[in-house]
Amino acid sequence: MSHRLAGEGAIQRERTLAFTFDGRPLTGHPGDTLASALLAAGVRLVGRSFKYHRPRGILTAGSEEPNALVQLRSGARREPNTRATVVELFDGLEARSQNRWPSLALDLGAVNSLLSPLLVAGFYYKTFMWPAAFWEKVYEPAIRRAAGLGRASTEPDPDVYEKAHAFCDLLIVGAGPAGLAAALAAGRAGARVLLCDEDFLPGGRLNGERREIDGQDGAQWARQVGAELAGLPGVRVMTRTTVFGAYDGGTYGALERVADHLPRPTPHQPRQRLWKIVARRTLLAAGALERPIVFGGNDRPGVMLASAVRTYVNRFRVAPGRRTAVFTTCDDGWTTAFDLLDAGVQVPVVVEARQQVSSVILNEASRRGLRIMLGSQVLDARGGRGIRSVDVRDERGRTVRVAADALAVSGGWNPNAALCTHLGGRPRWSEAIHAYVPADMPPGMIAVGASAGELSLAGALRTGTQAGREAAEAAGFAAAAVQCPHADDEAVGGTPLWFVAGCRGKAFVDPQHDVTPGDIALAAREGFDSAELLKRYTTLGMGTDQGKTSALNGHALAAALTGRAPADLGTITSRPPYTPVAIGALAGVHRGPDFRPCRLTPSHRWAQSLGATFLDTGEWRRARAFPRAGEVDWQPTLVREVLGVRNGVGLCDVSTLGKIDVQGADAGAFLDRVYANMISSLPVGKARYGIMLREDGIVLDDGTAARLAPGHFLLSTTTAHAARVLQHLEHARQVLWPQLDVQLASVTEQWAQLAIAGPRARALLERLLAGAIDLSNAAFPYLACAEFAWQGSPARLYRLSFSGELAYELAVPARRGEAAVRAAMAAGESLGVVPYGLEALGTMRIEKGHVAGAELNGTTTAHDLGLGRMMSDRKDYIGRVLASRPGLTAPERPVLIGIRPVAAQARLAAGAHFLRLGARASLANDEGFVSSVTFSPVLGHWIGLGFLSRGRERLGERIRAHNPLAGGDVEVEVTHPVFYDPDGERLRG
Amino acid sequence: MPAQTADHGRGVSAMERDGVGIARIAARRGQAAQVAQRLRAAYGIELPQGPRRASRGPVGIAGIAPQTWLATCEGAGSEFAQSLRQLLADCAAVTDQSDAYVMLRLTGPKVREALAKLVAVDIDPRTFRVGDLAQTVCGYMRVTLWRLEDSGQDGAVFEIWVGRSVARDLRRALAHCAAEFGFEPGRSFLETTAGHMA
Repeated sequence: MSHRLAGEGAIQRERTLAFTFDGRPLTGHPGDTLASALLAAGVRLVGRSFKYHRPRGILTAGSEEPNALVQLRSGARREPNTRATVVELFDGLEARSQNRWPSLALDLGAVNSLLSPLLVAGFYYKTFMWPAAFWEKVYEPAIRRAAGLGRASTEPDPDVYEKAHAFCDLLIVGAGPAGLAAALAAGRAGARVLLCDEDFLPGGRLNGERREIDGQDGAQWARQVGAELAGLPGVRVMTRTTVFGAYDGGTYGALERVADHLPRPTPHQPRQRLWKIVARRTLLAAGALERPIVFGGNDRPGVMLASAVRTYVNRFRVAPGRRTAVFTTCDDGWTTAFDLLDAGVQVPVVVEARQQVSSVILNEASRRGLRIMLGSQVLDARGGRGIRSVDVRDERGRTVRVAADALAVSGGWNPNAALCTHLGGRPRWSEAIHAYVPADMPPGMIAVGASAGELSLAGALRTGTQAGREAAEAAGFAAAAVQCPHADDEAVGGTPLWFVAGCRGKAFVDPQHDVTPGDIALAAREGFDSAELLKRYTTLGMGTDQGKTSALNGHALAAALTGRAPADLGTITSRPPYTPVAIGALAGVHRGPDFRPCRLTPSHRWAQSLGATFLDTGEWRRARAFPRAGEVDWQPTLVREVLGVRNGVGLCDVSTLGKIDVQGADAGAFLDRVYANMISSLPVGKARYGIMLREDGIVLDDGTAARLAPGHFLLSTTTAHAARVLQHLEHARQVLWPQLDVQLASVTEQWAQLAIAGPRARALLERLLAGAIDLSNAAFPYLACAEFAWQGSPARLYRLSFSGELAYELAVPARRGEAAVRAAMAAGESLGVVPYGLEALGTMRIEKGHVAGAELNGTTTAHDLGLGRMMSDRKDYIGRVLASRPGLTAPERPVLIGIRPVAAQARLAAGAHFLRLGARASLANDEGFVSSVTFSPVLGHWIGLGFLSRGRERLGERIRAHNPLAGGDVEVEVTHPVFYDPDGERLRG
Repeated sequence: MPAQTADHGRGVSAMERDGVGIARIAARRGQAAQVAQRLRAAYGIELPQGPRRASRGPVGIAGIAPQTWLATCEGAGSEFAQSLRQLLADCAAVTDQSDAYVMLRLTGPKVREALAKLVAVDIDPRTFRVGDLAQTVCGYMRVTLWRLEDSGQDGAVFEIWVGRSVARDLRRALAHCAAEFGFEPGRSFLETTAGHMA
């Protein structure tokens, strides 16, 4: 039998939507939430509680819902723990209850209820302690299986998410009467206004009430204002959008549920959009949340907040129960009784905790023939899977049982001040409304309406209008004299009750985490009696509802138990997000291949066409190797490429290395101060290797400096440190020595740079450059550099070698990089040119003992790296002083050495640690570590570089490379780090 | 002048700008006034102080850092940097950057809505005026953005620059963000996306 009422409401009866709940087909209308449609169909039981598996129903009509958590959809879009009260119904919606087995009606988990004396708060801390070994293998897996409510999908999310930025003069959080009035005042003045509301219908509480504004129906007024706002050019109204967090600098996070209410998003539509909003001013117009009262059976299906009952009746035209009793401690609760009766629903009794109420209320009650009990309290709501009666203790102490299938409860109202506390500001206690009101606001934010403790509709309209006007003026817009809308009168008195003493049935303070008054009492007994400690010990308020309907009741109970006033406990501050935010929305488009931008080299497409393998190193995607058909794994490819370079000629894209252009009259002097070695003495047309130290004496980076003109240098850095080095140089230029005449520019992107290396490199280049530059050894010796024109554009050539062979680096403008590579390959075809990548590059530099990122790891000095002789004693430079600290020059410091395995075919592993033969593997005996390893095609076995205490005095010694992480212990011989061509003859050919 | 317009009544259109000479100008110490004077004489442009761009004819000059500007010349190549070097020899360091950037011109009735998803700065017409410039982030990429004169039929016109090595990712991000408004990539945009830096 349907619980649907006649009358208009905010639903569209002409259309019917079909949905299922636990497989059962049901119907609703557009404008329904899942909760309202379930109630209309007479479904009260929607879930089982977390710990005790108590039957649970729908408590509220909003996002503060603690109980009605359901799972929506199936397959890849399955979504657990969604509050049925905020789900916009759509045709084909599939919903399922959670945390029950085998079914919602018969849940075996309910046996936990019998164990409740054991499962009190804090039992986790006390129970699973012994034996210690059981924790990891027994207890933790069991708890993990029992924990949580819903189950997330493990399939990839088929939806896309987006992020966007918004800027405004005024951000208004909440489109209820206060927010709408403020938006109107500010928007009409011309300010940029952003009005956000989590609901799909603006209006806030107006949609659930029968109030009048300016003589018309409140909900109607809201729609009319909405239409006007839509026409104001500077105003944007965003419904289905929750402002979930306040952050520094007037920045707010908001989540727009773009397509949650559709079976699937339309093409190009994101499922959700995350907004970063920067607002000059913000109004918190988020209203207030009604308080439940704690009494026996207060968690049973059928017990609801009084204002929620009104919302279901007035907005959704649903009667949650056919016989609905009302339990209230404030004037507002009576409105529910009147609205129910006027809608044709039976109200067997209104139980009012106060001894007296106003005569206006009494008259309204008697006019409707309402049975009332003053000075009375509900002791217990009775029933199994839904209430059937309530036990009331009247003012004389007698217990009266009243038949009812629903109970509307009103314990007063709490201003919804969560957003104000996100930056740490604490609210203050208001005796007037017995609740916390915002204080110590984030800069630029004020609260209006019920959020500020102004609980009447007239107060909301007044404070909203005024704040909107002031915000517009602050932004420089003259606010026209805006008439404040006029509301009908109402009564807003009340006295809090918090909890009912003497209940028989189990009562719940925090229904989502099954926290009972007994838990609160236990916490108080054990000394956890401040608001923060109470929360942590009992988990009060830690659920997805974050204690919106439970925190203050819990504090009041703890206060009463310890003889204090609720305000004495202090209160908790909230953290973002206000309601849960999907991780997908936080990631936006940055998932999978779009996780981070990927920098591509100028030759990338060409390398792809050759079937190269790639490696993502830092920001760049670089070619790793160019395997040929038949090469089964990396080793044959590596051997072919390395020997191809060393015996012929190879080609490698080295564009990723940082390139910094340094100009100015003081360029040389500047570079002398940042490099450890002399740079100003470099002749024009020559390059030199250089190392830069950090201020603390550790090596920052190594690279080259080339002098193209007296006041023009070109520096190269490692790929990984390019940005860091430029930052370091800019700091030196702008802050340390602003008096020097030097200008820096990054030209990493401007130039494609190709390394051409091997004994036939000169021959290749002569064919490629066709006389554009004299390449003879006399004209262009080792370390020469030059600028010239080639094929109609500028080019540069450097004779530098990382591989140890005769080598050049050719730089051309980046757009010509691919063409240059193809031309070089063509020029080198008859010379047997091999393209090579990171793998071969790395192997060859290890063979030559060149240090790279693994050695320049932020802990090594020039001395450690064997580059101490580069440190000039003729000048001062960054790092000079601290590099000579005793700790950095101690003789036992590990220094760079080479290693080779004693057993010829043994493999080496980077990261292994050095121990003397026979020494026990312990930190005390640790003598250093292996930094880089490779298989050497030239030598035919593995080699490595590493750091060994007093290493240079121990050449020839045999030690162990011990690898506790991956296993393995290899005996190695200590060698000089340069394995190949130690005199550098091949370089200078 | 840009060769192709790409507006067919869609929300956002994008066109890659090619053949533009780009040069970075950094005034030598104490020489900023000289730089301003010579550029004014040669091109009739007042050197912007701060994040703004001034232009006349094919030449534009954008302030990107203290004492530092990015100059562009339509239809020129590296010759532009060369001629600037001669003009400013003793008073500024000039660096050719013609290959360092990829430049996209964005326009269309929904261009601001699409840009709001990309860049972290306020691009409201009242705050980001014609000639204003911002160096900001866009999906973890460093970009430079400026606003040109509105076009009669397409409305607001912006140019966004990014380092050549990440241009592919900027094009992808732009295509994604503009998709819901109807995205019209110009022929050169599509070519380049499929072409050099795919």
